[in-house]
Formats: sequence, C-alpha cells, structure tokens
Amino acid sequence: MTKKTSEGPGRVAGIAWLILTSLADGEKHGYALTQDVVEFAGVRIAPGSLYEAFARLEGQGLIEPVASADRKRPYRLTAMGARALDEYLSVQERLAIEGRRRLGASRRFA
Amino acid sequence: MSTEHSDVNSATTKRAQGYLRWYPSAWRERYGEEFVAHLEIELAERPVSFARTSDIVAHGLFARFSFQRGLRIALSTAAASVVVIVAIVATISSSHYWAPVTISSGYDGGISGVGQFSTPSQVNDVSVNFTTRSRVAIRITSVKVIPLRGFLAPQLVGVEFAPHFSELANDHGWPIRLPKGTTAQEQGRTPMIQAIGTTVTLARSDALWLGLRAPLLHRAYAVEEVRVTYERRGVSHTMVISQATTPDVICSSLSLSAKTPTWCSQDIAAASAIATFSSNRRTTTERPTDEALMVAQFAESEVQASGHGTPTLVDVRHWAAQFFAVNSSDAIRSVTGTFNLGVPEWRFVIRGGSNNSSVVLCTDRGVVDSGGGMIGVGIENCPSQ
Repeated sequence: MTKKTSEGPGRVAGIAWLILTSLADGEKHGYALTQDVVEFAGVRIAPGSLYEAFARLEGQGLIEPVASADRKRPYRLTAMGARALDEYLSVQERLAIEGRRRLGASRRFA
Repeated sequence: MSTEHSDVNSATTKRAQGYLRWYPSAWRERYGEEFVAHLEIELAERPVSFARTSDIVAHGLFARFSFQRGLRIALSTAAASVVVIVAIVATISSSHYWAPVTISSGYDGGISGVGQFSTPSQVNDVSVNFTTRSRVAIRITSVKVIPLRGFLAPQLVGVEFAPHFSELANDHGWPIRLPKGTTAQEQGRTPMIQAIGTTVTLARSDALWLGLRAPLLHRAYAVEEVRVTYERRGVSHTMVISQATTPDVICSSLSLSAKTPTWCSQDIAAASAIATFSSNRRTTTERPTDEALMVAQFAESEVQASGHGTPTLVDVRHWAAQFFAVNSSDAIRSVTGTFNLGVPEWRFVIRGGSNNSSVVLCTDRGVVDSGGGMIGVGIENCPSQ
C-alpha cells in the first residue's frame, strides 16, 4: 500500500514521477525532458500537462529552474525532490517484489 | 537525443504565442517564454494535433482559474455580464450592395473573462462590436442568440445600436445609458438607438448592445454566435458573429459569493472545450475519435483539477451526454467500461456517418501512477475479444 506524504506531488502525480525521474540524471528543459520521457517510459507528455506539473513541482520545492540565457529554461531536481523520488522508488521496488512473489505463488496453484 | 529545430519560422512562433492566450497573465509572465520555445519545436514536428490543442486549452483554463482568483472575486461580486466576440464572418449572399462586415474585436464594457454570475432576474449588458469597410444604411430586423452545443441560450430582452463603440463605456447596466461628457453627447449625436426595426447608418466601428438574462437557477448559459438579420434596399441578409473558441458563459445563481462554485467552473471549462472541438475541421472518419478523445480528456482534466484522482465512468458519461447528446447527429450512444488494474478501459459507441451506423472506440491503456491517478489517455480501435 502506498502512503501519501506531505512531499507527494499531488494531483499530477503520474507526470510528476516521470519528470522527477528524468531530472534525476541532470537538468533538462521542457522539450528535452519530454523526449527523454518518451525514450525511457514510452509516454509523450503534452505541453499543457507538462507545464502544469512544472508549476506544481516548483511550488512544492521538488524542482527548481536553472538560470539560463536561452529561452528554453532548464529545470533540476532539488534535494527535497531527490529524497521524494528515492522514497517513491523504494516503495515501487517493494511493491514489485511482493507482486511478483504473489504472482508466482498463485501460478503454482492454478 | 532530441531533435531541436533552430529554424522555427515566424508563423509557428505566432501559433505558439496564440496558445498562450489561454493562460492567465501571471502564468504567461512566469512560464510564457519557455512555453512558447517548447511549443515552437512541437509545432514544427507535428503541426496539427487535436490532442495537444485540447491539452493546452484545458490546462490553460484551469491555470486561469487558479491564478486569477482575485480577479474572479471582483468580477463575481460585480454580478455583471459576460461576452467576448473574437471573430465575425459576414455572410452576405450574392449582393453587390454590401461590403463584408467583420468584427474587429470582442468587448464587453470593460469586463472580460469567460465566466460570470448573474441572478435569474438580472439583465446583463453585453456589447458586440464590429467594423465595416464603408458607411452603409441597414435596417436590423432581428437578432438571434444561438447557444453553444449542450448549453442554454440566454434570453434576449433588448437590442440597442451605438455608432462609434470606442466612445462608449457603459457603467449603468441595462438599459444602456451613455455616461455624461462623452464625445457622442458633446457632438449631439444620438448615442443609443433601439435597434430592431430602425434604419441605422454604420460607422467604421459600431456596437450592438444586447440585454441578456439567464432565467433558470443553477444552469449555465453559453453563446456560440449572434445572428443579425438586416435589410438593405429591400434585400435581407444575415451576418453571423461567432464566439469562436472563447464562448461566453453566464452562470445563473442567487449566491453572488466570492467563490465560483464547482458546477460553474466545470461548465465554463466545458464551454471552451466544446467550442475548441467545434472549431476544428475534421473528416467524418476523424470525428468519432476526436469526440471520444475530447470527452475522455475533459473528464480527466476535470477530475485532476479537483484533486480526485481518476475519472469514473459516471464522469465520462456525464460529459459525453453534455457534449454529444443521444439525439444529436454525432451522438455518443453509450459509454461502458471498467477499471482494470487501475487502468480505465472505456468503450465508446458513437454514431457514425449518414447511414446511422455506429463506430466503436476504446481508450488506450495510458499510464497510471501508483496512487491511481491517470496521466494520459488516448483513443484507439478496441482490441478484438
């Protein structure tokens, strides 16, 4: 079971984890991030959804913009964002292990 | 890794900037530049995408509601009217008497926005501005307010004509009264003319003021277009003043509190969504897919905005019925489905072409986060059983 924490990204949760994961290996601007997400998750995040998520994550202190002379402003993970992502991934790992274990057990008795 | 386009042309930039108009000024100030830069690349890659357009419109509207809370409070307490006119298409058939009439811009007496409150008995004053190429005399015979699909038509209680709309600033509600000291009064011109049945001479810029009521409580009224029928030299014509993708919505409410009720916010967003859908040209083959996509995406956006996670079948059916009622030519006849392992699997049966056939389409699996919140939805042919 997952438990929501005060650091959770809220109603754009699904997109938020993709964004945080993408930023985990370094700063990216919006378009580069969407291309990255397509490559590792097979999901294309539409621009409206992306910037709504940016606004929310920035407001929650999970990401922050990086100063840039370019119009395409990059974003990076904050320490709080990295911690939130780490916690989330830990839960997912436990869930995956437990799910696979139970799935294997049920197949033996099928 | 990414394919970036450094040669984005100015037309693409203008399109990208056009999308920005859906967002509030505070949002534009913060994210506008990078958002446009992002869109320029997307538009260069995929010039047309209904899914992208509807995504931007939906999120722009919700950003507007959250960024402009203060403005909304001021507007709702004023309990005034609404209206914006974006474009006019002058349909003047086979007549050499007329130059085309075009709308220059929307204007509503200083109050802008897409949603307003009104009590059922209140008459809202709404101006429809337009410009003409030449001065011509017309006799307006009727004005009809056409409702947006799925909405009620406001009740039209009066129409007045004013030349030189730029000189008008109505502060008094209905009926329209010209403020003292305006140029029109100083010059001795008749400021306002009862429009129906009167011959008026168009100036370069004119205004029709409409008195509109929203008589049924807790219902939303939305205008798709205003049709003005007029005669010139005995020949009758109709000009259509379209609301395009920014329909005006009046929410009928006795409570003029500062907070916009959820039902009104939803109807305002729904009005913009259906107007955007209607403004897109599409083939008969594309139409059912776009219908299902719009309903699914809108249900998703609504539920996300209210923080409830994932839309239910009830939500989807509600918006399907509002947008594409069962008695319409493009009806969504049914929506069925369930959540399978947290993933919505909705099946739409949509009226097809002229032979009354049905098209069956399904949502794709999208992506769902661990809390059950859906983050993306698409439409595809249903998998074979």
